[in-house]
Amino acid sequence: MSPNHIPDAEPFEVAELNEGASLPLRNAAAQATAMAGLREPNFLHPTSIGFDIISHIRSLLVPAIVAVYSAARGGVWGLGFATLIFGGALVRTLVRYFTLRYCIKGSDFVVTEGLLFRRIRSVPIRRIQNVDLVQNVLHRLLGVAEVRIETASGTEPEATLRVLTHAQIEELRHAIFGGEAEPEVGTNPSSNFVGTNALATAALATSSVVSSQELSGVAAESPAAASSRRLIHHIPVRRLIAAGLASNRGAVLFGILFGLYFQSGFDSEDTAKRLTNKGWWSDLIRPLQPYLPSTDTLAGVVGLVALGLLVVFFCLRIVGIAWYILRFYDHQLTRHGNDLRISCGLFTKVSATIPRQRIQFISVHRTLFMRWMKLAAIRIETAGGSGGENENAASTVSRRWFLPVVAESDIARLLGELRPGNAWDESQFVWHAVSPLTARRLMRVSFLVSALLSAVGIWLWFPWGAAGGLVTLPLLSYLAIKKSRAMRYARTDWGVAYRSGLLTRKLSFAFYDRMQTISFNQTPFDRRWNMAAISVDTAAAGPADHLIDVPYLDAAFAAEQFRELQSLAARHRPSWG
Amino acid sequence: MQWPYIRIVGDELARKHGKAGRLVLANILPKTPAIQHSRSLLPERHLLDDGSTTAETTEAYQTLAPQSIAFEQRTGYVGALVLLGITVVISTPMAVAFAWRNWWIWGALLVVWLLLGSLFLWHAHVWPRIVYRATRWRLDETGMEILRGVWWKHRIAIPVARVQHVDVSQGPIQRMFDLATLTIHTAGTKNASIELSGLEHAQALLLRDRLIEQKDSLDVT
Repeated sequence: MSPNHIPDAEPFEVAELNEGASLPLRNAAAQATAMAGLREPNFLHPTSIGFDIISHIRSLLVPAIVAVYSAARGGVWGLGFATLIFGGALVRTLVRYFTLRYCIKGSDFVVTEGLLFRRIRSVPIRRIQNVDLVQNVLHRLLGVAEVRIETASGTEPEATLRVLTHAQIEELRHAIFGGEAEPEVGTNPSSNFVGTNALATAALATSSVVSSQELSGVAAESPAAASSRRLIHHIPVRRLIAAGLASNRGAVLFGILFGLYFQSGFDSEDTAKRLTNKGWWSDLIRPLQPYLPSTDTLAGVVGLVALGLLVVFFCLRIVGIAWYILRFYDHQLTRHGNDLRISCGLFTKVSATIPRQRIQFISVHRTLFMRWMKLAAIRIETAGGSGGENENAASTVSRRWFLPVVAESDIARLLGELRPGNAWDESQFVWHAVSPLTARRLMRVSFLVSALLSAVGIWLWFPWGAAGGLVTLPLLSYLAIKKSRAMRYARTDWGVAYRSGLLTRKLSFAFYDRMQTISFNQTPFDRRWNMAAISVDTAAAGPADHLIDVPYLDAAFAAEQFRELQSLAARHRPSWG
Repeated sequence: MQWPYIRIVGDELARKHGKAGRLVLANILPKTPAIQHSRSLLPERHLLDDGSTTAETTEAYQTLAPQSIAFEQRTGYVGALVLLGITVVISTPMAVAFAWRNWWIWGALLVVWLLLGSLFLWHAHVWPRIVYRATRWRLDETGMEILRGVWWKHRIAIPVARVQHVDVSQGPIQRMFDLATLTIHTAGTKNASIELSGLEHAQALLLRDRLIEQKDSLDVT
């Protein structure tokens, strides 16, 4: 796709206008003016008070409801509690609003907060990796957004500013990422990490040189292209619908609802009784009776049941589609110099930034349905920000669902954008199959499992029980052969690729300069079959459900690969850490 | 049982390598006549059965400190005694409840104790030697490599540039044997920290310095 500017659908129209005006002279000077504005302590936007109260009350929702209910019925205690809860929230919010200031002091971004206990957090600007935004409907109506400032340590944002106006956000972004004219230095995380020792400045200079060589793909592009934003990928709604059809999201959500239903204090015995009671079901169906053909024949009943299942299936798929559209509507991936930026969402808009250097691991997932529709999902893993409870919407979108759905034909181009200078032509990869004995080894396992099944079957029901094992044997053998054929390993000049999976095909990449350790493992069974496994550890927080852990390789081949990976990883220096 | 002997071995090693330890440093580097403790004990099958058991590789790898066997054995004996104690405490009341009047139950109990006891003793006395033989390490210009495992064999390579920091720790019993544990931390997730215990203390310290030196030299150039 040719480089073009973001269309009007960019979520921050106001900011876009501002930036557009200043774009021609946008450089260090723009950064300087933004910086100057931020030298003075800044307050949050006044609407913060409202949003803060809402979030406080949300965390105390149950006691608040009880207290209000009790107060409404004239209970003195309830009234007292209600005042306490709402008053407390109001006081805390006001204290926070009037004491929280953010500004830039020297080269640090400083947030001070607190009345009795004063907390000062200062983050070196160079270490700031992400400025993520979350905007729900209310935020959008008021033209504000919640801002999260993250560094690489990031299990939690370094600072959360709830809420700022677009003008404030753009000023902040200018001050932090303003030096985009020289992206290698300004936004390069590599310059930050080396600086942990006393040789900070010297190391800084050297590491930026290293990474600019490494990212020669960027250097090859014109400097102007590096400083402007470029739309890399946009997901149209029809593709989201396809992805929703292909995914099992609906089933997952249904499962969650079911779990909630059973946990939320309903008498589970009563429910179970109802579910097993024929009358309850016929009551449920009765209103539909006129629309259903009367059936007494077996075929009719079977047909009805099949129809019902089909309806349930489509309902689940529709839930899946709705989820995809809610979450990823207008999903855009843009590039700003060395940073990738994602924005998406129907009601709650999310915008997240990922510096390209922070990508540790890339994985392409294709479920069965997706393969039918020639679609795929691309996931990336970054260092730090390991999710968990404190994971916010912005990091969920950027780390878990980097590109939820793309056309198969687009994969190579997109991967090239993620790691410039790497040739992604999959047909050029020299794929190595696992050891030729693998199918036999896996078949032996399926034979043992079937034999066990037959033995149990015979013990239960002589002699017909043996049929169970006889049925599973060809099935399991077929799966074993398919599985052994699906596993492939390839080495390119920038890293390794591993692909596996029968129904959901997963293809993952790890890069030499991102490999932390390399291991070679051999179980006693492996030794019997003259096999070994090679695995690669990266700093990726949760490697996209697909570790580079290649089993069943021929032992000699694995040993050779281990040696070569060892020296290749040592030769390719990481651009950070 | 042999405390004075252990002390002598420790003293001897201290005298031999000293705190200055330049001598030991020489041993860390490959291609020099390494300590190669008990190399004659190295059986061919120790290395991976993959054709990489060439003279070159056997030369380069080093073993742990020999007194680590004694250390493992000593702690193993204590563990074996505890396990045997637990067995006795559990099995005696069971036997009493089952058939204390029958003379053979006591015989059977004795046999079980003897069998289990000899198994524990074997595990405490012989197993550390087998583990010792299967554990090797090597430091060269690419980084650290560790081989271990008797049944489940693992080989891990840590490039020097990926070393985040290195710890050397020493427990009270390890101190008696002049041993230490080297822990290498990386930014990885699955293998975020790699431990190697049973190194001589001075050698562990030198290894640590050497790893950091190598890493720093990479960062400067």
